[in-house]
Amino acid sequence: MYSAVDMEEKIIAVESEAGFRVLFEYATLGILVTNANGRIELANPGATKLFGYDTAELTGQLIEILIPEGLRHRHVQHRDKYFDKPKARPMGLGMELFAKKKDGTIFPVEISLGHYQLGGEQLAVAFITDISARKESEQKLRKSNEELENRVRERTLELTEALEHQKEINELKSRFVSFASHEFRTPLSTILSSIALVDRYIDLNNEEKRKKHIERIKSSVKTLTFILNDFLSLDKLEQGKIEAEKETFDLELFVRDVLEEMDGLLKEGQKIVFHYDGIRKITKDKEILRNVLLNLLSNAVKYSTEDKLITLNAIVAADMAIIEVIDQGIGVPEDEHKFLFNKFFRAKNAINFQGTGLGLNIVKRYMELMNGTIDFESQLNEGTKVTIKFPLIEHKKSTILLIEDNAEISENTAELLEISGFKVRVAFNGTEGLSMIEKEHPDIILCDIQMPETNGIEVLAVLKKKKSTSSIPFIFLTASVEKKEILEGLKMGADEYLCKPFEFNVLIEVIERCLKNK
Amino acid sequence: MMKTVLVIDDNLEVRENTAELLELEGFNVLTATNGLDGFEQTKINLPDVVLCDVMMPELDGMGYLNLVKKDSTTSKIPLIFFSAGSAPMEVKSMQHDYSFLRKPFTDVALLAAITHCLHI
Repeated sequence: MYSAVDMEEKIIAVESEAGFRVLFEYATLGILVTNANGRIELANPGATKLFGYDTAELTGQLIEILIPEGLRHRHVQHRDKYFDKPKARPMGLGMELFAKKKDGTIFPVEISLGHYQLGGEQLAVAFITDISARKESEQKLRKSNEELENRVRERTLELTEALEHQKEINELKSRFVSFASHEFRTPLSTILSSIALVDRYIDLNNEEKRKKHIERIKSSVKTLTFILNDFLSLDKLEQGKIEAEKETFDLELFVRDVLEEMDGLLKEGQKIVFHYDGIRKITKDKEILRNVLLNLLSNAVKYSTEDKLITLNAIVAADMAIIEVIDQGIGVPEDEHKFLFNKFFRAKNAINFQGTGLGLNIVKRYMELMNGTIDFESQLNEGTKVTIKFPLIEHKKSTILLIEDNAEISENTAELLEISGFKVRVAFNGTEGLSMIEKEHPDIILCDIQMPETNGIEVLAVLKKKKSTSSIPFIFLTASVEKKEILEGLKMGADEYLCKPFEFNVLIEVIERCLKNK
Repeated sequence: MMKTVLVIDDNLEVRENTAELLELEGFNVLTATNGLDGFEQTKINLPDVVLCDVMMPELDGMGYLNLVKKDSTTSKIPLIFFSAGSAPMEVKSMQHDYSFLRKPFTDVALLAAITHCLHI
């Protein structure tokens, strides 16, 4: 703590010549004294260091040499005005001030002004602080604030989306529950009343009626199982949990089994006519196909009246199966065709039929899992024909390793290859490429010749030496000037080469040719 | 005298089973598969009580109710609605003092509702 007396003594000391000199010499801020014409009379070491001039270089110069060119003119005016009415104040209040070093560097400063008279001459004193560091940290702070704000915004958006998604799922679940309870009640009614009747027919000793009701109980349980399966399928599909599991089986026998399952669900006088044409052994996911067929057939049964005919056609070629389910039912109003595959959608003429509005949505998603398609034609009160098609031969996705140091070429090529159904891995130089080949055993390699580190020729040489990699098809991508390298590469066993720029369909042709010869 | 019950339901099993149960209990039973068919039978046969489903093609339970109530020959017939889940119809039934049976119902509940309507 200083006492008031101490303070006064210090002020007196400052006022002395020696005290002033110490302040002037050792202050780290720049101090400049100018006369009324703007000429520099004195510059302290702080100022010479700040601006990069010697004392001699500054003395006698116009103060404006320390100001960026564009601002000089204005400064002259300000300076003249200041000497009209000099007072101590910060300069350019609220404005950003800039100064210029000898080497031309422009930097932000803070300046305060003072004045005194010496031998009748008006002098101005400027105290100059370099605030580059402060500005920089302010800038950094602002930037990090902005980044933070952006992150908060992004996160908020993500959270809002997640919340929306959660809401959607909740809505779906509650619709599930109300549909499920409704759908379950009708078959449960039948089961309950049939059981009551079986009881009574035991007493009445009516064997035939008893059998009928036991059958009825069985088929109602079947209906319940169907509905339950639909709900479970949808739940699994929603969660992406279903994957096609393939096995080889006789499609005709399989469809006959499905038709047997439909027994007991047909209305009185309804009949399903089944035509099968083509090869019988196929490899597909049985469970998915069974679900699809049961769904389509039970729709046909449900939406057509008693005594109507339902047709099931299967046409199976080596590479494609086509199955049609044709009914003579109530049909779908034309303006509602486009909604038919939506979840929970019920056509307006179907509202009073039992149903969840899930079946066709599930079928469509199952068909996607089978890489197949579903189409329908329908005429109101005439009937509906649903056609499903699915491939029987599936191309295994070939993996292509692209070794290319130019990021643009590699990104574009990779994207186009992916769209064409290939799995693409990318390496940015030969060394990286070699280690990826070792790990991932690609089906084919596309390799640039000119690359830093290990070039394409060297990559090929390494591959050809090893048994495990020597037979992987190898295609060079080259700039046409590298003729010597192309020849060398082909001699070493490269399968093909493509000169950049190449057309994309040519690339695909070459790749497919290589894969075929493999 | 044998009482006549009309059962209106589009679902074959529910319709037949309900009819059978009631026949075994000594009722004369008529059946219809939708509201329109049901209304015609109601007008011609004037049953003592009607059991009517809510969700049906052609004309649903609500539509049937409107027709029956507008016609003075049928408006006094006791009605029992049964449904697998129609809250609005349940509310309406309660407001108008109709019986309402929620599916699935037991034979005991069915007979109790009919007995109640017939004041036997």
